[in-house]
Amino acid sequence: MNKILFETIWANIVAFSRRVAEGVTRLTTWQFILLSLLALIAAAVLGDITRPASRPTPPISVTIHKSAPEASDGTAASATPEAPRAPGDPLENAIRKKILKEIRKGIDSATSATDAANSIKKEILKEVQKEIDSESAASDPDSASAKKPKTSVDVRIAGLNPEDLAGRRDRGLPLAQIVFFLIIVLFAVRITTRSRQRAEARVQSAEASAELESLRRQVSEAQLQTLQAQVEPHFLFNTLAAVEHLTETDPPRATIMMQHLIAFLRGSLPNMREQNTSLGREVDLCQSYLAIMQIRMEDRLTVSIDVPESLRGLSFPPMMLQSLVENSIKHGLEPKPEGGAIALSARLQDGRLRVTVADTGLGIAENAPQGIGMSNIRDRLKRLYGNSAALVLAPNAPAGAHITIEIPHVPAPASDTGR
Amino acid sequence: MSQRPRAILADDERLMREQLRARLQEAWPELELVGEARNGEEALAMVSKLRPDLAFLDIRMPGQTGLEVARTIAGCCHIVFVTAYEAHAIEAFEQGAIDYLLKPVDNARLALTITRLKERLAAGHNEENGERALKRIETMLSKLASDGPQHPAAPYLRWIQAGVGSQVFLFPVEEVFYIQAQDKYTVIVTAAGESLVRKPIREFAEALDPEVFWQIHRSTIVNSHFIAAFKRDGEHAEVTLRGRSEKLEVSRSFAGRFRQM
Repeated sequence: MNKILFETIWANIVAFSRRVAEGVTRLTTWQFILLSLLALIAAAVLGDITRPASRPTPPISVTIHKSAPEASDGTAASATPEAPRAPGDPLENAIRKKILKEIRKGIDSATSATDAANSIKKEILKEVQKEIDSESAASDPDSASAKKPKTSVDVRIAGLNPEDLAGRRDRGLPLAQIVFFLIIVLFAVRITTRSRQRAEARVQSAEASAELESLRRQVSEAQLQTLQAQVEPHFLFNTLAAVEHLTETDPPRATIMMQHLIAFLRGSLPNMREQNTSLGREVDLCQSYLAIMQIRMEDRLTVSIDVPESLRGLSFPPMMLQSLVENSIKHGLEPKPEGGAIALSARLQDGRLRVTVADTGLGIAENAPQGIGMSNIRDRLKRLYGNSAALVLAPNAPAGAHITIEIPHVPAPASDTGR
Repeated sequence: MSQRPRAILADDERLMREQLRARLQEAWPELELVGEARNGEEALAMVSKLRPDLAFLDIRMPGQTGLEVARTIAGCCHIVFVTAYEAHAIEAFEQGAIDYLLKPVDNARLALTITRLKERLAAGHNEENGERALKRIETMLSKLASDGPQHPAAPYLRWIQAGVGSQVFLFPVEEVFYIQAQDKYTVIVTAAGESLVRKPIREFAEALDPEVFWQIHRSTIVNSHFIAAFKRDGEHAEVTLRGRSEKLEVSRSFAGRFRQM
């Protein structure tokens, strides 16, 4: 039970100090300094106000013992305590007044409680002696001072212990000191909390920027992929027109064409989930596209595909090969009146996968702009593989273009193989 | 017009020609289809030889595009474009086309086109314009016969064909850091390395876009996109490139370019 209680309290303390630390840390330096100054001033003012009130007159009782003067013959007379005087006695009153004055004076001037007590006592004794002397002189005027027995006085002042006095003296003052101490502590807390927060913020921002960078990379890859995966409307509507015509004139061929179109569209739709598919899948997609183009272009297009079965499972980025094949048809073979051939091949060479699209089309003219498709592939290869991938262009003999994508040899994840 | 109207159609795909022919015969039985062309050049020759009243032209065709054909034959016959994708509609009408059909051709839409064409044919056409157009067609055909198919030319060199070892590659000019004269050859420096071209640097200086490729020396042309810094030390001046260690000398006569930087 006790342990639980202690833990609860401790937890509360910790929570409170954490809140204080947070609050202190949230302030700006100037706010902190201003608040500290205000707190110090408030403490000083409060101390001043409370000081007089908190120092009531000490409950002092005074007992005066008169002892007989030392006999001239040298025998010590024993002190005979005199009965306490009745209150209201003029001597008693005068003495009390003096005592209070001295106490006040002593407290103000002394440096420590013990000093104060001692000096006050000394002063009081002096004063009391004076008082008694003057009284006895007054009550017995004719007697000569020389033969007058000297009355020694012992004053006992109750309630004037050094400890007591110390408590009285410090009661108003320590407020300012406590506040000052607190300010120092809070300032230290503030500095350490701040530097920790700053370090945390730095770590966080570093993590955030790394995350942002990777996110940005993913997004731009997705955008580039989408751009690459856009089905060209010209291709789509020409194909649909051909299918429409074939449904009237040659329904079995229309069905075949439709099936190729479906396979092509399914594979071409932007697939954000996977950055890599297998080479086999990409080749199949190209094959669907080329089959459609062959139906449309008839004897103007010859297709050959040479991709070894063993390489079909290798990892390959999506829609790149397709983009090269489309370029070959659109810019190389379709615009050439007699048409030509397209050859798709893949080889594993020196630990690199080289996939080539070669055509006998018009070729790349020296002043033909580098199409968006091409620069897009370059960007994507750089993003995906850094400098270990390349897009290599060369003229094909006797005519056309010979384009190769070279990437590091990476086996595809198991789920992608063989599809 | 008492005679039956005569038309040709042009499309590089046989299936498309067949489809259009079938649709036209069904919707407009009086129309006489006198020829079918497989590309722009054949279309031009047919117009010149057969003098049809109408031409149905695919826009994307090998050799001359439908738009190029139309530009030449305008005034000689009425033109209708048939295309799969309406990317060129405005341009098509600028070439004097009467109508613009989208593939696959919709029967109702084709009927509207036929109505328009009949109105136009009833109004008759200007013989003088026709004669002028025929001359244009003949000039174009003879030009095509001598030059072969033409590419829509970009004003500057975009690809550099260069040998590396025994192989020849094509480098997009964007990837070229700089080129430098070396005896009879020119060295092309790209991220893939150095390659040699048997062509004087002067020819590159003329063919490359001067906004991007700056000549900094009699024997050096640099891709300004890669310039990192220009330094001058008394008489000597040089540039450094991003990601490259070489310092390329800038001769006095070419240093003026950097003064504004």
